[in-house]
Amino acid sequence: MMAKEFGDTVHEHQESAGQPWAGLVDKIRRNDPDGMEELYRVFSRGVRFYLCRHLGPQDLDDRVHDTFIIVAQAIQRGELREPDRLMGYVRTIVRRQVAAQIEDNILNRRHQFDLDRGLAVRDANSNPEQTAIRQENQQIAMKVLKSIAPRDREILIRFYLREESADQICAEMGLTDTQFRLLKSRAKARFGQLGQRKVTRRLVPFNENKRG
Amino acid sequence: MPLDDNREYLSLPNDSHPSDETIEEYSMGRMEGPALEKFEEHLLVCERCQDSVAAEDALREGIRAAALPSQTHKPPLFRFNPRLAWALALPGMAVLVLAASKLPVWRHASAPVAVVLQATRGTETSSVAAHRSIMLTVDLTDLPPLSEYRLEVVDSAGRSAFRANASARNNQLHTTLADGLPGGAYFARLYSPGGELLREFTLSVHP
Repeated sequence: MMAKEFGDTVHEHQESAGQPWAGLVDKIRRNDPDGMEELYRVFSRGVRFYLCRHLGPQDLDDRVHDTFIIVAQAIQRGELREPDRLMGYVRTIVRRQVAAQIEDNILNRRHQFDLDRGLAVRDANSNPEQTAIRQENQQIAMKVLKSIAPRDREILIRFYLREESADQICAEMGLTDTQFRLLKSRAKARFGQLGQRKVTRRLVPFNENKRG
Repeated sequence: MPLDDNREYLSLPNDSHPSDETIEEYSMGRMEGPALEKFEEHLLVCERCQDSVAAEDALREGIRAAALPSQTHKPPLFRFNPRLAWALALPGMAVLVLAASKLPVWRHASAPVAVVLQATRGTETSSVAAHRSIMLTVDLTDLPPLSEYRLEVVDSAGRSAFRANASARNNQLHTTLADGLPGGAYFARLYSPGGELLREFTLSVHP
């Protein structure tokens, strides 16, 4: 399976790639400003991407900043015993941030419900510009989907909307695994090409490389 | 920042990035266990794969957004016509009223709406038309894997409008609200078998 092969490759390479992490962790332990800067340079885009993907763009800069503070302080306290595990440690911290924020969201909604009694739902359309962009993009996506070949459209709908497995799609559409992969790849490329010509605005700027 | 600026920290030899299928698996929330750990660690430092996942997410959302209206927008099979109702004899009118009240599917007999509840983006609310059958998909990403989950939909006054027990499939829960919901604001709450609240989503039903 593709994911397992990828994981094995990562494990093999990590065994020989420990040096960069050890040097970085050592700098941070010594409170070297270059260390913090390097930590931020290496991880900021990825941390920002993960947090934005799970929590949205609200308060993103603050959350990214908080993550780095937590990681740096943990390293300085000696909580990271194996420098090679820095990536795993950062991942753990980021996932905890996401879980904590989701829990806060649930508590906030309940609190708001108690206060408002029947008007507890926060207005999801509080950003009219984003709503308008989203609606426009949906209209464009609908036109694009209608314009691609019927078989390609069926594959995309089965795979992405109904989330049918590759085996099921192959069995019901009379395709081999190779045919399915090729057709799916072509359908995705076609949908993406046609859509890109029309959709130019992105809703989620996760890759704004701001420094805290 | 140049794309390969983190090359020395990448946990892969050159040209060994995840396949398209792996990116799809991750984007659709189907990756679990050690494979998920390794992939997300790689994703923290690999800009190329971040962009690949972002592109896959956007593609998937675009297809879902485009396909949902075409999958659900069909004219109702039955429309109440006042002139037709008066033209029928009284017994006929009684049958019509009875049908309309006892078989709500006749009034809004259209294909079900697919709604996906995801624990992303914080405060976004899913929205659906009233009295339309809802195919609900609940994202279980980052939740402990359990044998079964309980889903309850409550209205803004806390009254239960729907309950179901279901097992997870591909890190998602699927259930159907055959009669849909009346207009209003709702909370969809996911519980463990022991009654612990795991996640909550908001759902807006417009008349």
